[in-house]
Amino acid sequence: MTIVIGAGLGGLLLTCWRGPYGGEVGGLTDWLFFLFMGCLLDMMVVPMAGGAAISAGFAVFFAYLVLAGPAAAASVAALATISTDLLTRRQVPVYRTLFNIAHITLSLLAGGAVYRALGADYGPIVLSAHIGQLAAAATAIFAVEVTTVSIAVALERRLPLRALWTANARAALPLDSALTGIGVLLAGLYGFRHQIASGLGSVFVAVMILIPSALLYYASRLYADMRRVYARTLRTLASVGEAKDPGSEGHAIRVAELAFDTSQALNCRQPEAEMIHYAGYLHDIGKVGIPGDILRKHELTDEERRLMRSHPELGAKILHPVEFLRPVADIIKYHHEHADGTGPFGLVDDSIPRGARIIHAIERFDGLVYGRHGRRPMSPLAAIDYLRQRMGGKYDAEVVEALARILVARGVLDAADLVEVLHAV
Amino acid sequence: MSQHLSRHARLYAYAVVAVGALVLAALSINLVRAHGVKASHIFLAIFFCVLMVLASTSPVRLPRGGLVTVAFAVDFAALLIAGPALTAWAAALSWIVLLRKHPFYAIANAAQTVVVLAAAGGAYEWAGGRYVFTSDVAAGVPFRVGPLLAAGAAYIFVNSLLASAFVALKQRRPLLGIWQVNFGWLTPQFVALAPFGVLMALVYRVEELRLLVPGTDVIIPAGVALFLVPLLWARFSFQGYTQMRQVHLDTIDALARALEGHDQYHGHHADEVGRLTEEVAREIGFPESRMDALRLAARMHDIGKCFIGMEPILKKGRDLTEEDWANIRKHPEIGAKIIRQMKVIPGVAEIVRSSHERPDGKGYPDGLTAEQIDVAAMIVAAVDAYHAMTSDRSYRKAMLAAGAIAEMRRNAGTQFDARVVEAMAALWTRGELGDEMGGRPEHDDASDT
Repeated sequence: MTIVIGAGLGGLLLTCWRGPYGGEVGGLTDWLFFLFMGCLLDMMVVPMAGGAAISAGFAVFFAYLVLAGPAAAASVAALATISTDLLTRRQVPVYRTLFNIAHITLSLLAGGAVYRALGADYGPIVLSAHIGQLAAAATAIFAVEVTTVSIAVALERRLPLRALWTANARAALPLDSALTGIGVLLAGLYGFRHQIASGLGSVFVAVMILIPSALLYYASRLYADMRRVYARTLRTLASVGEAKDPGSEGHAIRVAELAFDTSQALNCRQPEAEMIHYAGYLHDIGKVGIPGDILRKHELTDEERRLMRSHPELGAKILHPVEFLRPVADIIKYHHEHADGTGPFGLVDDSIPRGARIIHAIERFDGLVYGRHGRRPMSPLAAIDYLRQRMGGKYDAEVVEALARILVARGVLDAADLVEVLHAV
Repeated sequence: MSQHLSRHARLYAYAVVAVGALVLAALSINLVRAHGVKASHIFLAIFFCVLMVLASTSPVRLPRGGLVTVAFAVDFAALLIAGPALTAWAAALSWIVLLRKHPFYAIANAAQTVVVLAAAGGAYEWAGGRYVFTSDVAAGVPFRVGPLLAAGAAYIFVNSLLASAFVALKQRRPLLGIWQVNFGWLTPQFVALAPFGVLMALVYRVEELRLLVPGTDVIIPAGVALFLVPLLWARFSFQGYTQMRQVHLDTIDALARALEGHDQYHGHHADEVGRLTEEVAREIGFPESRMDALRLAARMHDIGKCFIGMEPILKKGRDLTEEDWANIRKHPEIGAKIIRQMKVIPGVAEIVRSSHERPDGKGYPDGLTAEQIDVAAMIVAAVDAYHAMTSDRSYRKAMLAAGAIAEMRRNAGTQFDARVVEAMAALWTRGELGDEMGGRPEHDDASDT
C-alpha cells in the first residue's frame, strides 16, 4: 500500500512539475472545464456486482488524458478525488484518499505511455485515426487499475491475490468499457465544440456527457441498493431463524461470509458466489420447521434424529416458491452430503453442487470453533485438522484446502502449524 | 397465432401490412430517385437495425404495469439522421429479427412501424426539418424545436392509434378507452426518450467520432453506438432492479409461509389477514399509494413472535403468567425492529409497531390514543382480532363471524377503531368479508376438540 501511494504521489508530482501542459487543449479554461466535469462525475460512484465501485469520473480523466496528457489528467483526477471525499462527507481515512489518487495517477501514466508509444499525440482525437491507440491506452489503464486495487484489497482483507484479480477484472470490465466509451465521446465532442454557436459549446458538451452518465449512475445505484437491501433481508431472516436454536447466534452470518470468500478463492463466478453467499445465510432455515425442544436437546431418539436430518430438504422446500433462489435451494438441499456418497441423498464428489460442498465444510468448521450444540469450542487449528482428517470422506478436499489458505491469509492460522499438521496426518 | 384473432382484427392487420408495404416502396423509390443506391445507405440501415434490436430486447416491466424500452430513442435518432426511408427499413427488419418466431406479428408490427415513421418523417419535413445524412446541414445547432415537436407528436399519435385499433378489434372493446390507456403510457416514455434521440443525432454530426471504412463511402457512426451504451446499461440495471424488487417480496412471502411450517396457525394467519386487510382498507378509502406498505405490514405484523420464543407460551393456552404477557407485549417492537433492518418499503415497521395499540390508550407498546394511531395500524389490529375470533386459536375457541362483528362493535372506539369496524361490518353485511373465513361449520366447536 505504502509503495503504491509513494510511487503514485511521486509520479503525480513529477509529471505535474514537468508538464507538458501546452498543446491545443492545454489552456486554463480547458483545465477548469475538465476539473468541473471530473468533480461532478467523480461523485457518481457506480456500484458493481460484488461490492466494488467505479466512479464515473474515470470517463473524464480518460478523455483529458488523450486530449492533454497525463500531467493535466492526473492533476484533475487528484483534485476530483479529494473533492469527492470532502463533499460526500463519508469518513474516508486520509490514506485511502491518497491511495486512490496514487493508483489513478499510476494508471493514467501507464495509459499515456502506451498511447504515446503507439504513435498518437495528445490532442484532439479523430476516431478513425486513433481507435487502436485509444483501445490500447484504455486496456493499459484497466490493467494497472485492477492490479493495484486488487493488491490493496488482498492485503487489507487477506484474500488470495490471483482469485481477487480475476474477480475484480471480470466485475469491472463491462462498466469500465462503458465509461471508456463515454470518455471517447467526451474527447470527440470537446474537439467539436467550437462549431457550436459561440460560448455555448462547453455547455453543450457538458450536457451531452452528463445526461447519459447520470442515467447510468442512477439506474445502477437503484439496482445495487436493491441487492444490498436483499442481502440484508436474508441476513435478518437468518437471525430470525436462529432465534430458537440457542448457541447459534451469528452462525449463519459467519458461515455466509466465510463461504463467500471461499467461493472467490475457488474462482467461482460472481453469480455463483452470490448464491453461495445467500445460501450461507439461509442454510439452516429449514430448522424453523423443527420443534424448538428437539433443537435444544443433545440426546435424540431415532425419530427425532430423522426429523433433524430433514432440515436441508425442508429449507429447500421453503425457498422453492422463489424462482431466483433455486440455486440456493439446491445448495441447501445438499449441504449435508458427504463426498464419499454416504450422505442423506447419496451424491458423490462433483455431483454435489460446489456451493453445498463449501457450506458443508464451513458450517462444520464454524460449529466446531464456536462450540455449537453444547460441544466444547475447538481452536481453529484443531477444527481444520478435524476437517482434513475427513477430506474425501465427508468433506471436499479442494474446499478444505481453500478454507485453510483463507484462514492463513487472515492470520487466524499460522502457515507453519498447518504444514506440521499435514505431516502428522 | 393469427387463428385466435377475430376476423376484423385479422383484416385490419392485413390492411396495415398492405399500407405499410406501399409506404415502404414509395419511400424507397423517393430515396433512390434523389440519391441513387449507395452502399453507405444500406450500411446505415443495417447499423440502425442492429441498434434497434439491441435497444428493444426484453423490455422492462414496471412494478405498476407498463413496459419500457429505449427503442424510441434509437427510432427517433435514426429518423433525424437517415430520414424515413432508411429508418423504416431498419425498423421493419428489426421487428422481423425480434419476433422471428411469430411471423404474423413480426410483419404486422413492421408494417405498423413503417407507417408511423413515414407519418413522423412527413410531419418533420412539413414543419421544415431536415435530415443530417441526406442533406448537408450547416454547422450550428442543426435541429429546430418546431419540426422536432411535429415529428414527435405525429409519432406518438399514429403509433398509439394504430396499436389501439388492433387491440380494440382483437378484444372487441371500444377504441377510445384503449387509446387513452396507450396514449397515457406511451407519451411520458416518448417525452423522456426523444431527447436522447436528438442527442444521438447530434453526436452523429461530430466527424471526429465517425469511423470511415477505407476505400468506400461507408461511415460507421461509432459515436452514436457509444452513446447508446449508457442507455442500454441503464436499461439492464433498471430491469435488474425491478426483478430484484419482486424477488425480495417473494422471499419475504416464502418466509411467512415457513413460519406456517413450525406453527400451523401463523402462516395461514398471515395469508388470510393479508387478504382481509386489503378488503377493509379499500372499503374505508385507504390511499392506494400506501397499500404495499399496509399489505406487507399485515403479512409480517407478528414476525416478532418467532423471535421471543412464543412457542412454549402459545402451547400453554390459557394460564399465562405476568412474565409471559410482558414477553408477548414486546413482540410488536421486536417485529418493527426486524422489519426496519430489512428496509423493504418505508413505513412498514411503524405500522407493525402500532398494530397492538388501542384507541382508548390501553394498548402496547406506546399506549397511544385514537388520534395518535395510524389508521393503517388500526386496520391491521382489527383484522387480526377478527381473524383470531373467527378461527381456531388455542386460547380462545372459534366464534361465528356474526358474533365477532357484534363483539367488535361493542368494543368500537375503545379497543378498535370505529371507522374500521364499520367498514368491516358493511363488508360482512354485503357478504364480501373474506372468503375462506371462520364462522363456517368446520371451524365450529365440534371440529375444535
